[in-house]
Amino acid sequence: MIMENFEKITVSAGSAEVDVYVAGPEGATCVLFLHGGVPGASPYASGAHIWGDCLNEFARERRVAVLDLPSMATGRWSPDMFMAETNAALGLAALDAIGVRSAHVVGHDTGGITGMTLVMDAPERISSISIVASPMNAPTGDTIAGVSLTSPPLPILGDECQRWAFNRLGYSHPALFETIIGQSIEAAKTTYYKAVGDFGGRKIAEMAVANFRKVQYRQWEVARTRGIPVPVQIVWSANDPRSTIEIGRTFFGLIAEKQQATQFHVINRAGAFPFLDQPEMFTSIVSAFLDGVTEEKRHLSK
Amino acid sequence: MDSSKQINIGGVDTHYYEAGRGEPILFVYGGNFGTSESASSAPVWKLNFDPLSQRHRVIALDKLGQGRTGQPLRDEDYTMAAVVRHIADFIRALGLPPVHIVGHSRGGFASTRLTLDHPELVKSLTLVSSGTLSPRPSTNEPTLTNCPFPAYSRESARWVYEGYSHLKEAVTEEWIDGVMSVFDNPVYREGVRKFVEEQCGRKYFYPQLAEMKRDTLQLLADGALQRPLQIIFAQNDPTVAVEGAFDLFETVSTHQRDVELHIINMAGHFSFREHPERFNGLLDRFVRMNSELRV
Repeated sequence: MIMENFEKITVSAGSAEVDVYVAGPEGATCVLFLHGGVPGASPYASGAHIWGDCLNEFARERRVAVLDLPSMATGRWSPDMFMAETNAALGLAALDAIGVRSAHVVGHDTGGITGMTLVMDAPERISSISIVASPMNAPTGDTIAGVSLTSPPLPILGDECQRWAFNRLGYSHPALFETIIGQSIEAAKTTYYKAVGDFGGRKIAEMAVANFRKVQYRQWEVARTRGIPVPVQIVWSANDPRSTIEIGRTFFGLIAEKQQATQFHVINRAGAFPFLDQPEMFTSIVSAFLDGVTEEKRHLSK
Repeated sequence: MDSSKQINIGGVDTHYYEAGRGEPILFVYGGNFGTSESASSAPVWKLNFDPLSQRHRVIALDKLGQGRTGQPLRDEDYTMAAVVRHIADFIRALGLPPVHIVGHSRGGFASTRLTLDHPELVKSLTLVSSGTLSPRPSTNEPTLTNCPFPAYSRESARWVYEGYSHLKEAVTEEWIDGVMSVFDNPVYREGVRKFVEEQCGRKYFYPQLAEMKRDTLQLLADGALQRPLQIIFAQNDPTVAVEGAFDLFETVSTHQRDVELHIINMAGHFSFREHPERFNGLLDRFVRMNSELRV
């Protein structure tokens, strides 16, 4: 389902299990990729595949670990696995499994919520965090952004629904995303998404959003008091129908109050998936930050 | 940065630094003619020049009438237009292939104008904290006027650059040493006299700059910029409103896909000195990404 040359392993935390795709030179700086999506609510099925070809680019120079959907190989399954804390624990389990002490985290959409959970609960394991097109992390106030996904074709995650979602969320024509859309359609058939339906999609979505909201509030409290403890870059898109540049900038301002090593980036002609719309620019920007904070840390430790 | 080289550009003795091999990066610093409390020169890029020379061919020139480069030959050339022409002639004289130009502050304006007027000389443009190009009002005058120290002194230079900066410790003795070497240059002092006492600034520089800025912003709004652009501004610049970066991004991105905007936190006007590692990361990757571009 995902990139060639990636090894698939399975890790667990509590009752949850997840597939992890691993590639890149051993011993190199590690980057942990966390996909997003709200189970039961998102009109497309996310997963490790959502990052597209940019993962191969990152894996040329770095050790890359990409969390996928829970495998449910053993049938162990509970609503806890939708929660940010569980996903964060799975992220740490992935790092343990590949023998990595600390990693840079790149979280897309609600993957940014999982990432912030990791940063707040295990800062010693996280070198930096890149939050990518994640309205859930940002303050929105009474914005009118975010109404663009309120009436998807039913059923949720059906083929038509997913094509509709990519058409609305991406900047590029969905014909350019055919491979990714096909992988999302396949992902919707996995036991994970079937289980979401079995539990009652709407109920799961409400639980997940409530949990993400708690993390969001906690993140802001940490940001305004002691500060987010690791370097943060916020990567926003100029054309994301769910969010505006101003929302991203406001989020940046909150983090920047206490965390010195904070950067804000806007990618032009990109929607909710900047790594699909502008993969080269996305890879360049994220890599530049990883290079920079690594070099800065080396310099400061002298 | 080792010792500078010299080349004659249209009768003006021009100093520059050069190192490394690979994609050519040309650094253009800020400031303008005729300042006696501070003085820009090419070594201000030292923290970027040296590390990036490991991977690229880096060049930093002293602009017309600044640093150790000679003064304009005519009073009428104490203008931004003459500065831009001088840079273009410099690129041609060195026989450089199209460059990745990096312009800071007033140098950012000059670099943008050069990219508009001479796209064949430029492969990509990095615009750094340019209040000169920004459509927003700059606050360098209220921040930096009435320096309490004598002209041409270490104290005045330190006061000015600390006023520009968010991280005061970024204003190193080495930086001030570079300023003092410019102050000690009689050719530079003659330029200050021309600019101030003979009023070349009032008569030529500022009126021409205003006209050129209006024209340049209109060209950007019309989609005339034809090269990849990254805009790097700082969140805490006491002299340049960060909002200007968003204005410029919006203007250019309407017409052009390959535009990036970056804001660096806890940095003032000299983000490339205040956070050199992260700045270098952005520049290195941007240059590498656009290295294959054929212009």
